[in-house]
Amino acid sequence: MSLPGHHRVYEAPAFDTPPLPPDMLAGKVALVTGGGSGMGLGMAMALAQAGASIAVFGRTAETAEKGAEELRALGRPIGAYVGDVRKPDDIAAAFDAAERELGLVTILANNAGANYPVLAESVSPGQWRSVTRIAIDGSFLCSTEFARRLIAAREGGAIVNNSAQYIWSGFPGDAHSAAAKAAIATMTAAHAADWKRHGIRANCVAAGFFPHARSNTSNVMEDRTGLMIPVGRVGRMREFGWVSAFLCSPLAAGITGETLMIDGGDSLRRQLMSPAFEPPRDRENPWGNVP
Amino acid sequence: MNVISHWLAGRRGIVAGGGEAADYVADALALAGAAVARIADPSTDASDIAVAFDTAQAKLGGTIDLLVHAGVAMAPVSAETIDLDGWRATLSADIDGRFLFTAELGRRLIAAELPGSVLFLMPSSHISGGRSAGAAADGALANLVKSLAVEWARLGIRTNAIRSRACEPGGLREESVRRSLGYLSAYLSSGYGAYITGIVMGTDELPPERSSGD
Repeated sequence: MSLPGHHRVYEAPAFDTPPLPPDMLAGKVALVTGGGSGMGLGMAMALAQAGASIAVFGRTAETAEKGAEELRALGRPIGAYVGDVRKPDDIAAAFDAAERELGLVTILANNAGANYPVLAESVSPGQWRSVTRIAIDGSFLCSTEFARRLIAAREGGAIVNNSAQYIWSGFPGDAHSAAAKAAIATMTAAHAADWKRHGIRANCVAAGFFPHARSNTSNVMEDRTGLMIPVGRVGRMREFGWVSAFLCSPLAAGITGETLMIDGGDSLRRQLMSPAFEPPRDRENPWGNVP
Repeated sequence: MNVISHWLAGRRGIVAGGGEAADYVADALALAGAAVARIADPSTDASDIAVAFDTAQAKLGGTIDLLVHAGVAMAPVSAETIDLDGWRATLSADIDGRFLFTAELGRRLIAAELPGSVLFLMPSSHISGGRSAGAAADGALANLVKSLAVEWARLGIRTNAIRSRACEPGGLREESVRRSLGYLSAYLSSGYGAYITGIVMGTDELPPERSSGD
């Protein structure tokens, strides 16, 4: 199956023509959780393109360092720090090290997360805690550590949280992540309200399909996935990274407490008459199959 | 220094509707490289709207591929005092005008096989007294944005909306919010927003009493 010839699909500008100039975030330090790969690396790349130094914070040294190596090619100061976003001591140590080596962290990208298809009745307590605590606790703990340091230093800053397109619709077959990602969006607004008076902004990007190296999707699979999406393609990682960097930039100084959906219209595709409903537990894959 | 001059280079747009926020957005689109025709008092008549597009296209030298519509300013008035004429002058003028402008753009882009973008500027989502017409219009527009996003997605025509207190009568005095409204409008209208369609997002919708932190 492929797109009919009369359907028109448009791409964003190429990676080497980003929206923000290369010095817009010069002198700023951004800490990106899960920044060594996937969507975190996408955020880190866009922030580095705009001039920021990057502190990659990840659970495995190998992944964090690999991402840091890619980022260094952009010519910015980069550090890789290992720790678990569920552990306050690990978070404080990463901030300490980043401040020592790169400077005060004034941009935080909360990206660390985990996700996989599973029916609710099959989710073990450990699986539930793992997914929700990495996403919700991790974002909360990193954000509060970030804010405490900025408030003490009397500096403003910006937080961008990675959420998901299904936060307003639910996601059958993905109860743990559906709950966690929606929590992040509402918590974002609460943090924005708490910290506006300190000059700390908090926003959220709710992302659709953005395949990356760890998605293990082939180009053919990406094309087939794109058929599901109103704009006719999957998202490109640079698009997700760029809009995240925009929200952290001075251009968005008046934007806080908001969630920006970037999903090519995927969360809106609905028709009054649809194929017969198939409960997630009757499907081969609870998430459904690509066309 | 203008750091966004490449975002909308080569684009031609109409910014329709009154208010300081629309002026601000028109300036931001021009800063981003678009050629802009400003229509501060837009018609709600389909024939007049077609003429407005013809005029703008003649002036700007090509097909309009970008529309921002700020609608009609609505002063607060208690619902029981609104007669039919008053209702038509507010609710109908707002949603009819925005829809007819959008449909005109859509028809022209489809005929020309060109991509484009629509952006509605809307007040914040907070409901207060005296806003029945505005509230009804906001609901209509939010769902119009989502419906058209899917209807026109495979044509490369995107539709989005921004809610902001800067778009309310009297505007918002916070300079950063007004500036960010302009930059966000330009971003969503540009190729950098190619994967963003059907969204209604705010700039800073925090209620003042909570954002004070007291």
